[in-house]
Amino acid sequence: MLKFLAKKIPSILLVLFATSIIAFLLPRMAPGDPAQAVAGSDATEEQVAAIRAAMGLDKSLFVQYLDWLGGFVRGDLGMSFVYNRPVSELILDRAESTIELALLASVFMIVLGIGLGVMGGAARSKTARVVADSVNTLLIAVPAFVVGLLLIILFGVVWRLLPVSGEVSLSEDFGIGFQYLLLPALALGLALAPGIARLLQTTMLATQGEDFVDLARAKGASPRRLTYRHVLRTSLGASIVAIGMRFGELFGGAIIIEAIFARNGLGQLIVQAVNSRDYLLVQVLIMAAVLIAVISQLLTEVVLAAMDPRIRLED
Amino acid sequence: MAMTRGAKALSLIAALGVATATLSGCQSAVQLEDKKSEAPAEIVAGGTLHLAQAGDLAPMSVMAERAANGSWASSVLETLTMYDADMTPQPVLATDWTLSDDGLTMQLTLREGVKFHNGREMTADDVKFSIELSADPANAAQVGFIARTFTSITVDSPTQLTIEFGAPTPNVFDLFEQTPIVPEEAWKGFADGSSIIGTGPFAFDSWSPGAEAHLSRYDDYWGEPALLDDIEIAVITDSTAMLNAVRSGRADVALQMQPVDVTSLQADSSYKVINTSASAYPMGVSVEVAPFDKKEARQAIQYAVDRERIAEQVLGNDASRVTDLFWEPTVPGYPADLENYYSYDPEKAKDLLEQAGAVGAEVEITTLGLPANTAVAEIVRNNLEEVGLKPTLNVQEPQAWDANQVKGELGAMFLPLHGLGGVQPVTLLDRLPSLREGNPSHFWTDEYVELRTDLITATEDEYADALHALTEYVLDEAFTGVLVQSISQVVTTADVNGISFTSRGYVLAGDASISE
Repeated sequence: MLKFLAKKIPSILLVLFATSIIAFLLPRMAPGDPAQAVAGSDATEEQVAAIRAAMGLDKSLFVQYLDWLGGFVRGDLGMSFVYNRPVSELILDRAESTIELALLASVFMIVLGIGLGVMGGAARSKTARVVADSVNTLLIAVPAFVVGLLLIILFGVVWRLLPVSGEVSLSEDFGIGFQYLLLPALALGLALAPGIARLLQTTMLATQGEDFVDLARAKGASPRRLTYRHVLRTSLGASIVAIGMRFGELFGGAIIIEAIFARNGLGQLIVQAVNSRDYLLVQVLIMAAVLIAVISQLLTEVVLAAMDPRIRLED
Repeated sequence: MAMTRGAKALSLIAALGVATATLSGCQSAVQLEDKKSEAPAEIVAGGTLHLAQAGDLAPMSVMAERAANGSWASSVLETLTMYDADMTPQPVLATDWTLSDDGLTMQLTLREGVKFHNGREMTADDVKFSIELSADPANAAQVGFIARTFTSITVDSPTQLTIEFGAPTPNVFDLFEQTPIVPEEAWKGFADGSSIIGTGPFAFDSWSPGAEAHLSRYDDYWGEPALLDDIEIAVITDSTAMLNAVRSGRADVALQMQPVDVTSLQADSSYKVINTSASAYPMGVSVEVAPFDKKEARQAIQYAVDRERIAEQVLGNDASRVTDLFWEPTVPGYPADLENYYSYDPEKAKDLLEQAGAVGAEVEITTLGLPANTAVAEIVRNNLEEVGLKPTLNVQEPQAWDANQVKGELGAMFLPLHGLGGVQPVTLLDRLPSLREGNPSHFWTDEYVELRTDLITATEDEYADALHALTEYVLDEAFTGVLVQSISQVVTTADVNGISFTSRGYVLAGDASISE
């Protein structure tokens, strides 16, 4: 496995280098800049120019890029133009919130996705398959923010069982923090689970007809053993890839869920950074998002190889 | 050995039992929030006020009088004077002021015994430093242009200073109203919000950018100490989330709430709605672009717009004022007879368009991409279609809009939004992009300059006439004109008392308390 990971390093570095150029240029293509954001809408040209010079934004783009890239390589993520604080500090302040949300949402996504997929893919119960299909269809059709708002209404307004606004970090108070985390994580997980469920169900139904399943059945394997030991294990490969891809989507979905539930995670940070044209913050967050996607893909390949002996990482 | 079915069932029941016991032993977060919103039966000292606001704080822009700082700046930082309801300056950090007969020299006497939050006593050097900060373009102070007209500021003693003006400066109290007094040694801490030092009844403890801030009572305050222990400010960008925060008891006070959400709470006796400061929704045109190079066409569109409909459908009648003027009714010399200079008259609009040869003209309306602005733009577009123009909308997101407004390039027709900030018309002439030199209408005639100068140099007796003349000219030329003024509304729970606001809508929490 180490050999496999080592072989991946050059391509990862290439991806990150290309991303750095895109991350640098993309925010600068939009009108406005951090100086404008700090000056405000009623500022004069003179005021904006003075702030721009103080921020060093009057240097050439090439010089700005090199300054930033050099710092990035040395581990210095730069200073936020708007907040005048280290970008690393701003990200670390918010990271716990997003990590908590992403992890619990992943658990919901995996448990619900695989659970619904097995329910629909097991050949035994037609009723279960109909229920699974209906639930999947409903969840696919309803966007995450609608799910979030419905959860707020049910659990926060009608029944008042769980808080619907704000957050308490798990490290500060696990019990209270978990209650704040439940609904947003469930909203996010529910939005992503049906894709996995549908994929798993389809793969399992296809696998049911394979020769090795017939052989196992002929040898007297119980329906439960057939489903879990033979069909499910063989069918999980595609779902694991889907889970890996959706892990990256979690962070995109987190932006909307964080806004609805008034959580202050990285999703809200990047929205604020884009709105205020806080270039360095946007650049680093884009790089981080790409890095997370790359790492989750690598992990997916490793898990896949572990589950399916036909797959060798070195291949 | 494989578990029997019975053992499996028992294990499941045991696991559920443990989970239930654990959860029942946990404290409920909802109950905690409910306890926060339950209040004792009478006003009591102490407690924490929870504020929610839609935009992030901007301590680095404290001189720029941003709305984002409205939740905390006037409770932490103080100014030399503050306007009362009649726009008469009242002493705060300055206790006395004397203006020379020629209006070119002012002597200020400062309050003694005022301490900054770092323990040092405030002196005239701090006042001089703060005014110079306002004058520095890098701090983007909206009243900084007033300070730039000073020829000198001399510190005569720790509590006395003399300001020399280059010309009579009738709006100097606008500068005093909106310039917080800060200590020089602590100014660097404002840049990243790590150390905000003022003289107010609350000290600024901490700020997590984009998330929250915390203030605590300053016990060495020169005046009556605040009743509250703390103020917590939460940044909640989503309007639905802010409404949920108020309804769930997480927030006691909500700033910058959407008008439709304010309306939904207004009928509920558990909440109070307080009107604060005004903003203007003007409609401007470029006099360099046809058909608006002709005055008849400019006047036509002013007659074409149904202002009452905008007030009712977009802002709510309680949160708006139908007026053609940039001035608030409280300003001295307010020309009330000009308030509705342009009544809604589509037939007159059509006649004027015919006179201008502008019937069927294609007009692009550039609008700021905020919800209320786009709603106003839709009504304006509909009204202009009715009188025979062919309008299209160009909605610009705020950053793009700001960049174009600074350059004075908003196209043929545009719908900005200006905070009026509780200042004098003389200040608004140079502060508002729609009225100042380099405005996006590209309107700058000798007569306009003359009337502006007349207002700036008018004596007390001449002021009302000068304001009337200038106002009438601006309305007649119609290069810009207000459609409606909106009044910012703050929602508080019914148990919040004593909260007040400055003329620019900043929260004053010194007398605030929580009761039932």
